[in-house]
Amino acid sequence: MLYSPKFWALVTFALALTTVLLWSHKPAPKVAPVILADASNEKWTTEPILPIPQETRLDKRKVALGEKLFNDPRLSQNNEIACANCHNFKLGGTDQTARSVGLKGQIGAVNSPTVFNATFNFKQFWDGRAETLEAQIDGPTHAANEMGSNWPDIVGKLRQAPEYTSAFAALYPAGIEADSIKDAIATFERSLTTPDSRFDQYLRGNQNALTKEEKDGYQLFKAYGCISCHQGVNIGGNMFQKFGVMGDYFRDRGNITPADYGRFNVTHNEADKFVFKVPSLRNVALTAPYFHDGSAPRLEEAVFVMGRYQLGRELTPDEIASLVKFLKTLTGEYKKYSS
Amino acid sequence: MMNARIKNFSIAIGLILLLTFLYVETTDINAEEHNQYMRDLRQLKELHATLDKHVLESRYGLLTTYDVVNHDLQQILRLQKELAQVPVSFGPAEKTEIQTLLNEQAQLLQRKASALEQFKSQNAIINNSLHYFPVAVSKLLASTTHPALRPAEKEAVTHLLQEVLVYYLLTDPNSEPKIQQLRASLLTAAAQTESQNFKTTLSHAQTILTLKPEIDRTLQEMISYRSAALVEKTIAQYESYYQQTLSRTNFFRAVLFIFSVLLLFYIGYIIVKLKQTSTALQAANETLDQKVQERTAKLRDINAELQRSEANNNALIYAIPDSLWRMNHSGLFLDFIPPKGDAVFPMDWEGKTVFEMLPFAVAEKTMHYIRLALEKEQMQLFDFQLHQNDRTYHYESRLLVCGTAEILAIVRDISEQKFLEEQLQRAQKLESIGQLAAGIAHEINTPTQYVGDNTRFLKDGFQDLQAVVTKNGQLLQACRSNTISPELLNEVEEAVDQADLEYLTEEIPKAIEQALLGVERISKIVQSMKEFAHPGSDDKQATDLNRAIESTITIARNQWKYVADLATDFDPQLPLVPCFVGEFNQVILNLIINAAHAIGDTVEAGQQKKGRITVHTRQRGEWAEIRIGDTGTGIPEAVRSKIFDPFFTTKQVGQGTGQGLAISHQVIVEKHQGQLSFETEVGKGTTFIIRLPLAC
Repeated sequence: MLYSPKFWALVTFALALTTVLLWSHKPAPKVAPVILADASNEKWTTEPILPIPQETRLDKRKVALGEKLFNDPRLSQNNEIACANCHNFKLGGTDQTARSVGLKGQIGAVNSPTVFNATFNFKQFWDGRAETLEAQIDGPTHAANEMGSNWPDIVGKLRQAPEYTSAFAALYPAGIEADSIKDAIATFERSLTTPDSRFDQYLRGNQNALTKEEKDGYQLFKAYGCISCHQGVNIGGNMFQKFGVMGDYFRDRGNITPADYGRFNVTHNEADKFVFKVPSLRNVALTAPYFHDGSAPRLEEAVFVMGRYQLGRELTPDEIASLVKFLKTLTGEYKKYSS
Repeated sequence: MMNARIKNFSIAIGLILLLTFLYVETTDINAEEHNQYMRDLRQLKELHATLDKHVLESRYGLLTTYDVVNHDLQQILRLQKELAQVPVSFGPAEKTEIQTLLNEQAQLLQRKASALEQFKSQNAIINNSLHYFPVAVSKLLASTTHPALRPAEKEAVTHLLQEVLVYYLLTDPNSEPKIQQLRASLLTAAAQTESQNFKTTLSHAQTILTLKPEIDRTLQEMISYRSAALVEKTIAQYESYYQQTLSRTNFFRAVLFIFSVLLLFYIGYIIVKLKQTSTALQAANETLDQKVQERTAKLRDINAELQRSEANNNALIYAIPDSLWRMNHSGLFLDFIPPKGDAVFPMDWEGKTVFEMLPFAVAEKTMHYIRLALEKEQMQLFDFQLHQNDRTYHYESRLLVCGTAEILAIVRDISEQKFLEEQLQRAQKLESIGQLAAGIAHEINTPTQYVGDNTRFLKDGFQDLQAVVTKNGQLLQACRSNTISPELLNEVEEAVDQADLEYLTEEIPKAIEQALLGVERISKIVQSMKEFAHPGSDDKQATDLNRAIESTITIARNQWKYVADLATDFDPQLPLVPCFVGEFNQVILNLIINAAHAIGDTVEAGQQKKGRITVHTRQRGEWAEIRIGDTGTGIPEAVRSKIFDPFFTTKQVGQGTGQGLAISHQVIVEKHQGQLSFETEVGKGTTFIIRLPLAC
């Protein structure tokens, strides 16, 4: 009787109670002092332009899956247009066309920006309407004159494809869904960087990476105020600016389209009319034609237009040549993601 | 007992709930999450300050890339997202308060971000113009190409440069109209000279003049948002709520502590009490043990008694010679206790049906009676035979309904009884023969007497005739020798007269006839006796019933002839009937004697002088019918149902054993599958009707 289960249950209960008791008697934990990380980083302050990081940490499997999706025309309505159609890696991540050809031969409203180093842009699209790479994917897939599709259709088509079912199941608990597709593609796009351009090598301290003319070009780039907008790691891509600060570009060009309103289409703020995201100058030698309207077929024209309408300077051919020499050193090298 | 249990259980549940409540109340604060939240809040405040600092650095050219401010902004957005989850379990009001503050911050941040974008764009432009404007001015002054500036214009341009730079530094709104005036005049001049450079230079001046107050406003606006202060306010609010929660938690900790201490004492008390109870219980257990042992001993005795009783019962069951069968309604054996003695039955009857274990006829019969028993819920009695080892075994089966649709059959080997019955029957036969013997002797004696008398008469007659014949022979010789003497003739005449030849001639044939009749009569009686006493055979034999009845009537003659006349009416067409002739004769004899006795009673009573017995035979369909009627007393109502019972008799002791009709019934009904019935009327007489099947 004395050692019955009831007795032991009581003893156990008493012990548990004692534990609770002792614990409750323990004084409340003191709030530990908060140590703030030093937010200022010295490396930002040396040059207005920063080299592209040589390493990125990404899930290799997601990169591989994203690449497959990037090249898959099933993301379009008629199974003919893949992301890679307009973002051709052999053409600097663009299609080198003023305005891209989309579904059923329709012409896009603006020039396709390069997908290379898009990850370093603070917002996506010419008008910056997408905050992230993921959000950007909704644009071209849904635009009627681009891929003209929608997520239910895309998800439905991909679920029919056995090659995707297992790959998605291994990476995403939800399987094939719009969010997982976007995550995979965006992850792949984060791998699309072009480090180690000659200019980056120069920034990292290799004085021999640039010729004297190119160094002169860089000095001119800084001295003439290009650097005011084209700065940071992506040499642009981190702010908005009005196209035609020092002159009316659109009046001179004529034939204004709604796409020319730029940022205004997003904010509907009168001050944002003709404001665009400052494009990155990385690989700029490869991404002709230039501007959102693809109006400048070569770098020289683009530099000239920039000088006149943005800087309020009439650049001489020598100056333009010097600047172009510098710009050509910004071409980096895309390496397929590994590690 | 039950209520007490429910009460205890409810108390325990209540205590546990209270304990859980107190415990949960003390766990409101997760120190780690709280620390993280505080860290985030402070970092947010710090980041706002950093962002403001970086914006100012960008403004004054200390920071040459906007990546830094973008990075700051992104960090702020990330933190703000994380801070939306308030970790400490505040009350809903406090939580809403914090959420409101966080929402306010988010809205503020949105405005700040758009101001930041504006700043970035404006800053880029103004910096560019600020850099280029002096360069452009000096280029303009140095320019010798057409159209060169006039000296006054040059002076004005230099003055403008100075004024704009001063304006840029001081931003004195009072000086602005003056500068604008100067610029306007220069603009007119520029228009006149149509110098592009001149125009561009002036437009840079204009840009500075326009953007300087704008960018100052933008900066002013950004700083005026005082987002760091708002964060500070949030921190303070959060801290105050946290302290409230902390003190509340500490209060509950104290309560929990006291409560736990009390509970611990209570449990200690319970343990002590439990120990006491257990000691008492142990004592009670011992008493109980003793009681249980006593009870067990008693039970053991009872059990032993029961076992003995059961053994007795079993012994009884196994001692009684009968076989016991328990069957269900369809003749399936549920239980089987074999008979003792000669094991005619095979073993293992259980689970088998009567049709498997018994000959078909017997099984059919058994089933018939089972159905009857179940239907009527009455005991059923029937006989059956089994043949084995060239012997016939007789069984008597009693079917009793027991349980639902179950039958208990008590099967008794009555072979011995049957044998005794046969013996009895034989004895009865002998008895009747004994009874008959006197009558038969008398019957034989009468003809023997007159056979003797006639023979003696014939002997005397023969002597007289012999004398006559002798005298006639002497006469014949005398005739041949012609020595006939008258004396001789007289002697012959005298002899003839002596012999009374006429009488003899008339009487001797009669005497012979009578003697022969007597002999024939004796011979018939003897023949009848032989027939009656025929032992018969084991098998039925085709029998001439008329003749058999005739014989019986004959030998019984002495029994009835004094009281009755007997008339027979035999059907000459009656075919031979298969029967055990010995037993049949016995039956007829019994019935005739009974008839004679019945009539005798009436004669004695003087009701009639002489009765009448009638014996008929007829064929009726498949039956041979024998009717033996008398004009006797008839059978009284009261005994009609008993007359076939063994040992039932109405006769005086010594006159009969009461076996006659019982045996008759047995012989006709059981042995011949026939029918034995009677029609009777008291005072008029009785007719017994025997029916025997014509076919076997």
